[in-house]
Amino acid sequence: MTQRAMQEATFLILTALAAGSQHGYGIITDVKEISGDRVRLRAGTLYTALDRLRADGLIAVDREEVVENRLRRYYRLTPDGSDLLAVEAARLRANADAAPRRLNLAGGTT
Amino acid sequence: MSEASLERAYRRMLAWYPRGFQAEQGDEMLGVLMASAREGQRRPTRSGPPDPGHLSYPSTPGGIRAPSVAQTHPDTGGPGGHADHDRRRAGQRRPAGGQRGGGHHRGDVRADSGGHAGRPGGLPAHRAGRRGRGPRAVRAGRRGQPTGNDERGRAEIRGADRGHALPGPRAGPRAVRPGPAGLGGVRRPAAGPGHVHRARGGPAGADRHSLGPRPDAGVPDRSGRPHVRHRLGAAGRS
Repeated sequence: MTQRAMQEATFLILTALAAGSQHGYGIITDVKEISGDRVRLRAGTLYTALDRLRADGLIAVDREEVVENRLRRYYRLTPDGSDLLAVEAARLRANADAAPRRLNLAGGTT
Repeated sequence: MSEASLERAYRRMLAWYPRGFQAEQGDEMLGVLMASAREGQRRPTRSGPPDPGHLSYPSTPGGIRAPSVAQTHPDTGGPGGHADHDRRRAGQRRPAGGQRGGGHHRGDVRADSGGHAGRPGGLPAHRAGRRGRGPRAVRAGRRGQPTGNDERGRAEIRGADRGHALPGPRAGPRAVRPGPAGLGGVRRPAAGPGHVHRARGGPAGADRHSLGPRPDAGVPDRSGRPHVRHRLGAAGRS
């Protein structure tokens, strides 16, 4: 059985953390920016994903802060998370490269 | 003032989560919810675009599921659903918390969805049991949004069966039941002989599961025979 592809939201969350640690709201805004305002994570979605990613060792808590009496927890990619993101990025790139190549072979114009 | 009331509303919604999750991430999530709120917002809303419906990656074959595409239960807040049944019992005409009535209002319940929907963060519908405090959960998807992804629903349930600890309230046994056709649940045959489901003890038109054309007593069905209420009937139902 083939491995399942990483879903876009997961990919975007990991990508948001690739440049450095982020807190929850920062991840949401970063995902929105990375996706060109196409993907807007909800808090529940985000924490469901973070919970799973933490359990699988792909992200970890980097530090905690209290800002305006609210807890902010910063997350970072683990080495495993970085590796998985790199693999997934390569897979997506290969797929993305294949499409125009095939289109050119077929002489297709769009 | 408005911020305080919004925070109270979010705290009520967070009460749906397991205590462990509340203790671990409740305050943090509340901060995100408040930071995501609009200026002057007083209560959670259900507006906004959907978020990705399905989160997974290779290490979790079943995937984890985003809460945005709720499914699995016919209780949509519309006529005939459980919420509607409850409202009728309570003498309400409309659902509380700004939820609109109407048969097609499949509430996509998310973090910032409102009032009666009440599941914080758009909990996966199957996670929203009816135990615990708070209003009955409203399960379903966004109005007009195709939610009929049976495989996704099954994957979600499989994930739950494997013990994936999704944050969310405890699931009651009814919460994992698939919803009717069009809600992402398992599609059942259209109403016909032998496929009439009706609320126990309710009036003839109060189909809890609304699996097709609402049967009206005495109206012939496709077979030409007069519709018989509860063909499964007293003898066939446990």
